Amino acid sequence: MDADRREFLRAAAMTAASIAVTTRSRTAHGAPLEVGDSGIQWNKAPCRFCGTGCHVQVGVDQGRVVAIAGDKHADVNKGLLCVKGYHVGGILYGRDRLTKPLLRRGDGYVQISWEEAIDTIAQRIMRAPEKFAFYGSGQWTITEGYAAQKFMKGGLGNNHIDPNARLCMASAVTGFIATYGVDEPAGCYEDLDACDVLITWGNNPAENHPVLFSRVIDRPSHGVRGRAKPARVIDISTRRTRTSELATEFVQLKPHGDVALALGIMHLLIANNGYDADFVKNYCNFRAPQATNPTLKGEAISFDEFKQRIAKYTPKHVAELSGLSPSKIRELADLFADRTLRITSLWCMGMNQHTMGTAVNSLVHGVHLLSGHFGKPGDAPTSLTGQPSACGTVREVGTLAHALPGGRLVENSEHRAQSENLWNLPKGRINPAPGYHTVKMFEQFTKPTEQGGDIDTLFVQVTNPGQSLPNLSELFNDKQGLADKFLIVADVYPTATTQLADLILPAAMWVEKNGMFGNSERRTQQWFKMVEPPGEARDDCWMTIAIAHRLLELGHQGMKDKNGNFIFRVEDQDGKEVPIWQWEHYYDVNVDKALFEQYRQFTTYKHKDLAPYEEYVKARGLRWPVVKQPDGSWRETKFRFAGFDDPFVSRDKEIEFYHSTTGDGRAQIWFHDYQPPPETPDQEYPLWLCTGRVLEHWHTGSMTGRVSELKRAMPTAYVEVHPEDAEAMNLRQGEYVVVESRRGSIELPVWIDGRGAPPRGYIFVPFFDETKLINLVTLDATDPFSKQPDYKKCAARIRRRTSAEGAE
Amino acid sequence: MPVSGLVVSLSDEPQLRAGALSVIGRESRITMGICEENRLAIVVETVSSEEDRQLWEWLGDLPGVTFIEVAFVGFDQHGEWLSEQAGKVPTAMPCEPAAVMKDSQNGR
Repeated sequence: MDADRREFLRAAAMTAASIAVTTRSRTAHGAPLEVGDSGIQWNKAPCRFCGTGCHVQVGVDQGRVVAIAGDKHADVNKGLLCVKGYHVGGILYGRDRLTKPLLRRGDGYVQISWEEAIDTIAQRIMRAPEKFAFYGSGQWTITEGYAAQKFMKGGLGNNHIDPNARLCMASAVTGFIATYGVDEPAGCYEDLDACDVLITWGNNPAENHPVLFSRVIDRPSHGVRGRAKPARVIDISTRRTRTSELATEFVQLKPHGDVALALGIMHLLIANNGYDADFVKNYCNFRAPQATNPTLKGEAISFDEFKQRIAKYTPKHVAELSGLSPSKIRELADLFADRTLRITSLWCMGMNQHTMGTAVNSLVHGVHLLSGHFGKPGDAPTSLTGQPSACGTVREVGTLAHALPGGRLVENSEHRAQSENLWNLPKGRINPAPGYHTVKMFEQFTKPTEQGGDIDTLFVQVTNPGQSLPNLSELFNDKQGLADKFLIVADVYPTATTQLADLILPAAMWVEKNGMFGNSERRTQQWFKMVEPPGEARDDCWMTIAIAHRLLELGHQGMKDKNGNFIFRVEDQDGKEVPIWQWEHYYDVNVDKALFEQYRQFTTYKHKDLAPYEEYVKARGLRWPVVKQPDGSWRETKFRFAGFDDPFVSRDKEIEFYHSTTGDGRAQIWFHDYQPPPETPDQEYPLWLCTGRVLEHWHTGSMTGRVSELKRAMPTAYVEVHPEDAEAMNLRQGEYVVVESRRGSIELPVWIDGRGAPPRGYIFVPFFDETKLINLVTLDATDPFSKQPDYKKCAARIRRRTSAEGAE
Repeated sequence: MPVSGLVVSLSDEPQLRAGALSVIGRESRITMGICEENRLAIVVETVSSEEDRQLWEWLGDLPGVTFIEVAFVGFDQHGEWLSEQAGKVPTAMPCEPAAVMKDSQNGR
């Protein structure tokens, strides 16, 4: 490194750190980052990893990313990053980037041209469009997801499109819709600054959303205005984590104990007259699932009926179900009964990856509604997302098998007509039958055709189902040997998924392309391409458009709109069509802008209004609904349904749930009976197994595993074991053991007194390590409403390795 | 040669805070910047990512240091990001590019 560059980096580092100190202290701002004449170009981008949506400043020199800084202009992170965030630039430069299209021939692969790759896919689809499925991601950019959605539902008339977000937040969606009639949190991250009490429900933000968590626990240092005292953090979980260590209090419960606890709190709020009678009277209804064919609308029940049904969830009964003491349950109920406090609940995978996921999401919303802890800054039930655009791309664009953009449903004829109209398609183009959700999609793909497996071509973009699906042997590995099944994988690195791919497409990633994400607090973010992708890697969105155009050339009528134009027609300033399906012309225009402007017309239906593209270019994200003001400016919304901030609440109302499923402006407080987990430990498999993430790696580790600092910091997956269990099984620290369930097994090193502390009879394994696939062991049971699998609890056992397995 | 800009949160306890400031100030690889409301801006310069990690761990373990946050990280132009991981990429991958290219050249 030459002296000038080093001097520049030193000065920039000090500037960035000083700005972070002064900004958080709400004093003067420091100097701009652009110090010296270094030649480095800086530009903004959201981080590539989790759903927090931190903004980074990306420093580019001579076509390479050379520095990353936290973005002081970003409300989300105020200049700070976590350990993954500051290494985000490194994910571009792993040595094994995929750079050429590769087609399987026998046991290996041959390089082919992009033209041949696109033609191969189009010919497969053309032969049987109904047997094609598209599996995407909460890491798709908004426009990538929108293009895939339009291609499938508007072009092919095929609804077999679903994202990996089905595996991580589908139950949050169904919980929000069942309660408020519309998806996504009402509040925002400012609730974390304003709350007196933060309750983390089965959530480990210290590792998985560290910048957000630091906003709570380091609040005095951050000098958050008006709330300088620390929040009381209550961590409710089945195992002690880093979050528990930093929390004020750790409350340990049994698996599914969260359902019982929420019911128990509501019972006590009513029994002790601690509920908010005015809030309930003015803004709430009561609801329960129908006895047969239950839906998200449920059936109406009266307050008295609710009270009667919930009466059995006494502290004694809830204590038996949850493992908590009756006094702790009373204490938590008393907390919610205290309306001088501001209480925020935070959750993520613990409540979502749950066979009662919809129920427990709805119940926790119910706790807040019943107690009136809603609609004021700091009083909020809030779910987080694990992926950078699970909200923006999946929940808002609607890249789910049953959905259309902007909160619409394929089953609804009006919604189909609206979508056909906005897409300028002939009436009846959109198929009214929901497609296959993720688990079903892979079941149908890995099942032999002669046994009814009716998906024969599957295109996977921006995700790694060969590692992330549950029960991998059945849902993924069974593809092996099925000669008529064809797996296409677009990715940036070789993964567990590319191992079984028939066609591998090298993809551009993050700042190698234009993009937009939508984070956990409804914030839509934009960035521009900053560096070229390596070799022949190309944008995922381009791949979709190129396939669509090849289908058009092959005569597929679905690739034309009502006027006979290509469904992805983009024009230049003179109204002339730009051949964006040709890679050399893809960046002649801003395709992202063209698609986004089309997509944003869908967003007003559910009051998720988005601003024009250029507004996002100027901002570090804007939280929808974003509404134009009389002076021509665009205003974001921090607190939905609250009259003081949400422009769609009627003028005379303090609170209004304007998408209420009952059409009366009210939210629904649900009753769901407790049900036990689908599989519980027994004599044969005596341990509970829970899976999850670690600070250093992001999801399946395919990106963070290429960053040496992160890989070195956490090189391998492990099994956390309670010391007494380890002693009883005579296990040594670091010893490799076999962890197995009724579905499969893997070998893992034992970690006793490790980062997390599971209780006796309970083990934990992270899922980031592609050499140790814990999802060979997990269960594929799903929530009945959201179809989201439960990765957090199944029965397993540990045994020592045999000599054949390498035991010493 | 990593260069990092960090924000170190210090203890509310005056003695612990003063002790931490004193120890940090004596570390030659650290340049101290402004300190406001128990938050100290520093720049860390090391010769390798391994040394960088060790220094972070040392810093995090210091009495009086309660939290470390990252504001900036810069790397050599040609990238420590490329090092060490090379050759350690998942070995189970049949489509590891080097193998693929060889297969391709062999006409498989």
